[in-house]
Amino acid sequence: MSDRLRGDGVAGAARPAKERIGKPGRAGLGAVRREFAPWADPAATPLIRFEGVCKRFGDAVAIDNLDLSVYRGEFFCLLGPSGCGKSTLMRMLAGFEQPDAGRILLDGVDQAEIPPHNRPVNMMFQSYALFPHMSVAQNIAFGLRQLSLSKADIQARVDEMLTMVQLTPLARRKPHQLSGGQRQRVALARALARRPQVLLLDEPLGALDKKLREETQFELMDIQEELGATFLVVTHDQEEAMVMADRIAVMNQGRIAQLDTPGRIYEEPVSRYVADFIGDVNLLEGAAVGREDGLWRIACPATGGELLVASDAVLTVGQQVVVAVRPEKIRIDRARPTDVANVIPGEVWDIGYLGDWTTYVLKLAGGETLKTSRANVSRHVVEPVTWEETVFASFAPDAAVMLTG
Amino acid sequence: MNRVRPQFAAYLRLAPYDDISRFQPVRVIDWPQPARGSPVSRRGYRAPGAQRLVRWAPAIWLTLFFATPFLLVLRLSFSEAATAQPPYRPVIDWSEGLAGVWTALRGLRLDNYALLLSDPLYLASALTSLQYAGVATVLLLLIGFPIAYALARQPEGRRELLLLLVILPFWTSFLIRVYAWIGILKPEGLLNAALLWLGLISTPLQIMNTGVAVMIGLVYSYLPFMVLPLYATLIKLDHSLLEAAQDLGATPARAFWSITLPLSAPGVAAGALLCFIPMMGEFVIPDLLGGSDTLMIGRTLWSEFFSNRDWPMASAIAVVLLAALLAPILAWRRLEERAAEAEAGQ
Repeated sequence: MSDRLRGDGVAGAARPAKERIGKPGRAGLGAVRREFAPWADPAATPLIRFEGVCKRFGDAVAIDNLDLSVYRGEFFCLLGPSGCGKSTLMRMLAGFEQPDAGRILLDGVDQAEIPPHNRPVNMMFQSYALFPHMSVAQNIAFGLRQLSLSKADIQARVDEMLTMVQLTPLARRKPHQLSGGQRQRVALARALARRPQVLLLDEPLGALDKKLREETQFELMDIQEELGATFLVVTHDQEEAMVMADRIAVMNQGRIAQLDTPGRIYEEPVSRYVADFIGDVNLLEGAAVGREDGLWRIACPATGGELLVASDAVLTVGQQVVVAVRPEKIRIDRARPTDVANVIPGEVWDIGYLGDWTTYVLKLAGGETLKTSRANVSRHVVEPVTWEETVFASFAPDAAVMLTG
Repeated sequence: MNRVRPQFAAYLRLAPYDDISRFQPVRVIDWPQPARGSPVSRRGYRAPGAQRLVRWAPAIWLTLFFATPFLLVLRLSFSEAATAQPPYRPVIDWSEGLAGVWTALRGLRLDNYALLLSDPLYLASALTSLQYAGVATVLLLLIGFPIAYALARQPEGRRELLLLLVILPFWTSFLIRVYAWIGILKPEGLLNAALLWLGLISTPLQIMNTGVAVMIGLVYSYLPFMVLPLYATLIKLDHSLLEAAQDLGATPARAFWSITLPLSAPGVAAGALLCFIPMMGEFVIPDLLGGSDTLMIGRTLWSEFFSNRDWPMASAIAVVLLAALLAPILAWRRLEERAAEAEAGQ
């Protein structure tokens, strides 16, 4: 067991870049970008497999017959609101919870009988769970001391980890003498010291303030690429998931609502829940009227007319659907545009100036609202759109997504 | 004082007014100066009367009920026993005024303290006390820790109920509970009867009036004082620390040893001090359950006071005992301070 724990599966920090698994570093812009998509390769064997996993706490269903595969070298995000079962899923992989039904396989080995201390995964806790009575170096060395390593080897690995997270000068400090960001890095170094096959990160950036969180996101991605390790992150912050993940599993009530790359999850949500959970979206309800040139004509009472939506969905005429349009996909003009299929008149109700973006909330004839946003590409606008002005919102048929679920 | 503060000036220039002269600049507020005799003293804020009273309450309490009696005992310890009412010679002759105090200080009798050192009886009973209190503290830790640990691990509702059961004995008089042990431990008592009935022994065990009985009494009586501070520490222990330890490859036993135990050290120290100190001076338990060989210092003090009617000698014992017990407390505090300094110094 200990051989495996010592981790042949993961490259050490010192491993040269050309041997990295999977993804080429973002740093090398000139390098040829290899496609990293083992999930699309039918021959690839997943590193982690959840097979029909169920978990209940009393009457509450935490995980409902869930199947999931995560591949080696992947940066995988479990995203969902609190109570959706994402943490339970991670804790089951770490061994702190046992599934009621189903199997969890890690590198092909069923983990059911393996206690937490023998699993080749390590976890970075949401609270960091740093040992308060140990120094930074001792915290990092704790996991190594449980392996049969020599003192010199432990020291070398601790030094390597301290260098990686840039905490060498603070090695002798106690956790309470560190800032939040420094603690987070100690927790990361401690969890990575044993070179786990999979690193589990429970809300890794939740306790950091916004600026630090954004910096740390990229640091985490760099470290993951450097080590070629498999990262499984639990988060409720969609921005975090979008920035870092290779793939995201959006979870809802113990099930996976959608599993895909960040781009596809954002642009091609499969359900109303996913569209609504990720980013801002306008959900326009309507009924299918007819199909022409690969476009569906949808009668939409809110806009007081019909919308044209590009979709391959198979609908029956009269079927209720939801047309989802992201605010930034909607253009607004003072004059009625003639070059776009879908034009909706409305009155500017609210303006939110965010600096880089301005969002406009339009009140439509039917009383419903439509959110649009615009990048502020120039510093001064001569006659900006203002409150109570009547404008025309417009979007192309392929800017909208047809949702039936 | 109608001037614009510099930090506002920038805003004024930016303000979208056509005619800036119409704008009334911000007036700097003149802070009212404190009037003479107002509650704002030169040293800063002074709390109102009631608050000050609350702040001083502990000091007043300690002066009235600790310092004053202690000084009386201290004075008494320098006196000499006499067949009188009260049975000692006064130390200070107040009729001479301040001169009397001076005379008393110059002729301070240390005879009682000298006797304390020379007569092996006192040292022996002090050592007996030390031995009993020490062994009992270790036993209490061994018994109390698992109890406190189990309590802290209970689900919330049951935890409160069990905690109530721990402190339930306090609802009965301490004396009655110790007497009850006589009924259990005496040769024809409950314990012997049960053991005889079970056939485990053929003749009653002589437990009563031995050191074993004293030890049982001490451990039983002081158990809540050990369990409660340990529980208070263990309940605060973040469970995710243990999960983290196991996640990092530590077996549950190893996690307990390297995480739970060191982090419960403050509770262990508090519980040990809370039990050890009163056990050192314990009188009732050795008196009721012990025999002639369990002469603990508290019992010696009692017999000096009531049997020998040597109040000054008893006072001297009390003073030395107090001084001796202050030492471990101060040593502990010093250690803690040093640890804090070491951490701050890094």
